[in-house]
Amino acid sequence: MSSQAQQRAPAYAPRGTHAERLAAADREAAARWDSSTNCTWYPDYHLAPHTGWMNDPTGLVHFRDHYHVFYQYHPYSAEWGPMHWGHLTSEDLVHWQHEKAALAPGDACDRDGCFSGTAVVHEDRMYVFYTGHFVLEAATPSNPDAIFEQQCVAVSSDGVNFEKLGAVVRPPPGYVHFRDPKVWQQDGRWWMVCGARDVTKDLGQLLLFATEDLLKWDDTNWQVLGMTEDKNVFMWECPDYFTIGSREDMKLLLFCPQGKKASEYNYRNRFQNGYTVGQWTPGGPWRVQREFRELDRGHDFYAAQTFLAADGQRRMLMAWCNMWESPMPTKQYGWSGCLTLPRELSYNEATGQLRMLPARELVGLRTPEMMIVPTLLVENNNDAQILANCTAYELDIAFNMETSTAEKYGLWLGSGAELYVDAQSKRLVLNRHYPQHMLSGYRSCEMPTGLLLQLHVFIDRSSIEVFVNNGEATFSSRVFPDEGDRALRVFSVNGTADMVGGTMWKLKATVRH
Amino acid sequence: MSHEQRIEEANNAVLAIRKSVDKEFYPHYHIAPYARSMSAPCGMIYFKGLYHVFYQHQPFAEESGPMHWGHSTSENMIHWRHHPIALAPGEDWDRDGCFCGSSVAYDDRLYVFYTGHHWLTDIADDSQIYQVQCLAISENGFNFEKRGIVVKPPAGFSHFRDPYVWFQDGRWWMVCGGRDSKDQGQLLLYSTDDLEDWDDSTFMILSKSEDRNVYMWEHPCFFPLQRHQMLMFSPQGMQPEDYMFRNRYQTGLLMGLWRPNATFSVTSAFKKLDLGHDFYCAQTFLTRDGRRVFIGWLDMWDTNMPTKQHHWTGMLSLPRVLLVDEATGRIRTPPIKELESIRGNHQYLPRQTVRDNSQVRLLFDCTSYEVRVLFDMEKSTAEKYGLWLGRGLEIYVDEQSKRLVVNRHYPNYGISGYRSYALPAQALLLVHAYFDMSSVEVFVNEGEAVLSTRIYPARKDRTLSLFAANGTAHITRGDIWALNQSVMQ
Repeated sequence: MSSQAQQRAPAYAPRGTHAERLAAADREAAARWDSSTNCTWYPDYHLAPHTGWMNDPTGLVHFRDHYHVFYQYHPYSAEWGPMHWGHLTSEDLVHWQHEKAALAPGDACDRDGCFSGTAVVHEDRMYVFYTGHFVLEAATPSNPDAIFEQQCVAVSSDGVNFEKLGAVVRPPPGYVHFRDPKVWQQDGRWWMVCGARDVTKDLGQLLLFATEDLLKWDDTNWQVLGMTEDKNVFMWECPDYFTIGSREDMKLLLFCPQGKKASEYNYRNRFQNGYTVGQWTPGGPWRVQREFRELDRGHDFYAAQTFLAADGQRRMLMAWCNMWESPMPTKQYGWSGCLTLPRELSYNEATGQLRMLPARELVGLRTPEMMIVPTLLVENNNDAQILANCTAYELDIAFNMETSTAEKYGLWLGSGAELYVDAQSKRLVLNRHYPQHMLSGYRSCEMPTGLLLQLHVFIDRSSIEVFVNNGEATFSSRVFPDEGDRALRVFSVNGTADMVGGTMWKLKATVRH
Repeated sequence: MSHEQRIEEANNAVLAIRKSVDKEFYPHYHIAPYARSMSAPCGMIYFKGLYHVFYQHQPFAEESGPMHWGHSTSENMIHWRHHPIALAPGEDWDRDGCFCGSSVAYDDRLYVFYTGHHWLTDIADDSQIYQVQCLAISENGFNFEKRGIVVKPPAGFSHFRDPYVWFQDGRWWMVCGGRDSKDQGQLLLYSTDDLEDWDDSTFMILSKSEDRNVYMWEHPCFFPLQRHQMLMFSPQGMQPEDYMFRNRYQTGLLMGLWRPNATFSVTSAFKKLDLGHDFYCAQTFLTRDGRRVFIGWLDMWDTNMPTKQHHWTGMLSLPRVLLVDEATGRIRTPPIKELESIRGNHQYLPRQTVRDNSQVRLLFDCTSYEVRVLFDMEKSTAEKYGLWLGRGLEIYVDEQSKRLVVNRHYPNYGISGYRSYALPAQALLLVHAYFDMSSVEVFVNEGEAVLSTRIYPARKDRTLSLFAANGTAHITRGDIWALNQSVMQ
């Protein structure tokens, strides 16, 4: 969850019971869905709200044979507003079903917003921990943002209907921004970390709480587990904390620092999402051994959260595939926001790199419509069309970087998006240019080493996800081609491009409404 | 067929196809061929009250064919008139083309030195050629009498072209670009007392490429500027490196020292004259008042040229002044000040901030315009900010690579890519852009750097806007002028 001083939540007048507020939200969403006429950019196989606004994925969990994805949700407009929890479920990570809204704000513990959180399964019930958000009347010296945030819990026996149990952790003194709890069990105890921002120094931090009873937390007993070394960073959002690698004391913190200064090609999004790795045992400090690294190089990747796959072994991840304060053209059609595909994480202990690959279940997205992309030498200042109308497709192709001589070569999606090798800056570039939507600019990474540039690309109606050389780098970005401007072409400028070929699949529409 | 008859035949071919020329991308204030193709400017000179610009011209096709000399004149370097073709190939010595050359005025007559080109086989094979330097003379600058070969190539030089002739220390001098049997680009020097009689058995190699990749030096101009001796030329074979030398061929300068009978002692690194996509074969001349001015071909070999289907290709750059700062040796190439005479309606841009992720429309239909914007780089926070022309052209400060970028994207024509310039250290950045129907010339900080690029916006896609992406852009001030047509259409 993220909110800015300039984006203060509107006044919210709760009425009725929680159940009534949920039903009202669902009625509003259904009515808006029925009246929406343009689905130009609505995803075929990515999760997006029925209508209204979506941001952080929350409470990701596998529970009773279903994957549950909740998300920050404003049902009443395509702008951020009083935060609810939207809900989707899937048996296989491929086919998804919209469920009714799970949480609506307006109770004593969460009057102005049900902010982000996490889910745990305990004694065959799902417990979701989330931040209850309050907008206060006026700012004070010790509370310049005029908010109050505390951690709350709700419980469900079926994963669909939730009973709120109220606040369990109140903010320590000196913390106003205090949100996005992550809860896990370790060594017979329950642990919670929250992102925080202290009032005196405006530094992003990670606060740790512990308890033996999942519903009773002693919030007077807490620890600052981590603190930013970068003084520009004023807040750490959406912390996810888990064991990585072969030793249980090696912990990876996946989080969203706010306030990082852009530097050359790095940290170019409004806010970042990345990770640090260090050593922690309960009761002790967390010793960071690997400095902050961005997890995804694209324009639109934030609030990533991880969960365990049904096999209990693979750690999976989904993120919000948008960026704060970025123009969102879908608002004109009554909705905004979508999530990335689920990805599998793997960690290289030698290099400290966390990689993402598409979840193996995603082969289930493929239709029988499979095409071989032939080996192709694209001549100087030429292009070859491989798809006339690239809507929902997966392609897995490679370029021979040794034999390609072009100054610029790669893929064009319509006239507005290009994924290309830039021989000038020696970078792989994802550029989008939609000036009519005020979206323009590129994200890039260093050229991968080696002979082949392997590009595993997922394109949906308004997003592109690129997995480079088996996850050495990934790009997640929204793209907004006009109808009729979706040709997919391989191109070469000032030289030749040697495309080794590959495979392409049409993908199914897999989200039911 | 006589020379006059061949000229008439060529002119008739141009006039015939002229009726089919599509003017969508035809320039309003840049020199372009009446029809068919144009490449290198040559023989440029101020003579009898007129600036003469000749250019390599193919009257019978847009692509390949024997080179003629096309011709334009102006009284002021701004208003240009088309003239009949000046030189047509077909004599023994220039059977397969009248290639580039230069002019000198002497005894009230115009002497044109040019390269006569021969294919040694029946097909055009660049490794089977014979090139000689030839002379043609005109009393009036329009009708030329060919005088034949004046300089034959030395042994081992098949590529031997683009003579540049000047008068110094009581003698005439000629340099030519050459490519020897080792495929090394070099500059050959000849000298004579008699402008019409050259002893080509006596020559010296004035300079050679130090870059082994460079196999040919084209279009040499060799002249003094303040206390420097300048070589303006177009090397072929430079390998691209990072952002540099990305065009197929380059055009630039070497500075050094030279005295007659000595070799050219180079004192500076090669400096490109233009960092854009489309600039080649620059040639220089002196104005009536003694300014060193140059014009280049505003296109590039081996690139897609959408105007072929419009029955014309090629155009020339604006005339630019070559200036060298005496103290620092820094080169600047601003446009000639005469361009102010074609300014029409003026629009002043007051100090303003372009808000985060927004654009400010400046012109609804930016056809022929001059736009000057002073950006405050210190106050601007945007990741990317500058000017958009339609969807296909952006001129912007790129905070990521710290460069000023000219990016064009016309995928329907197979044209895409950027050229860029490392941002200077100072706080203010003056972007001075000349837009014509299919070109933009961007002068940065009064010609400290120039980027020239052909652009092909659709008719309804010529909106010009200021923009700022992911942050704000601060404009200290700006001016926009509509530019009146000054080239005969």
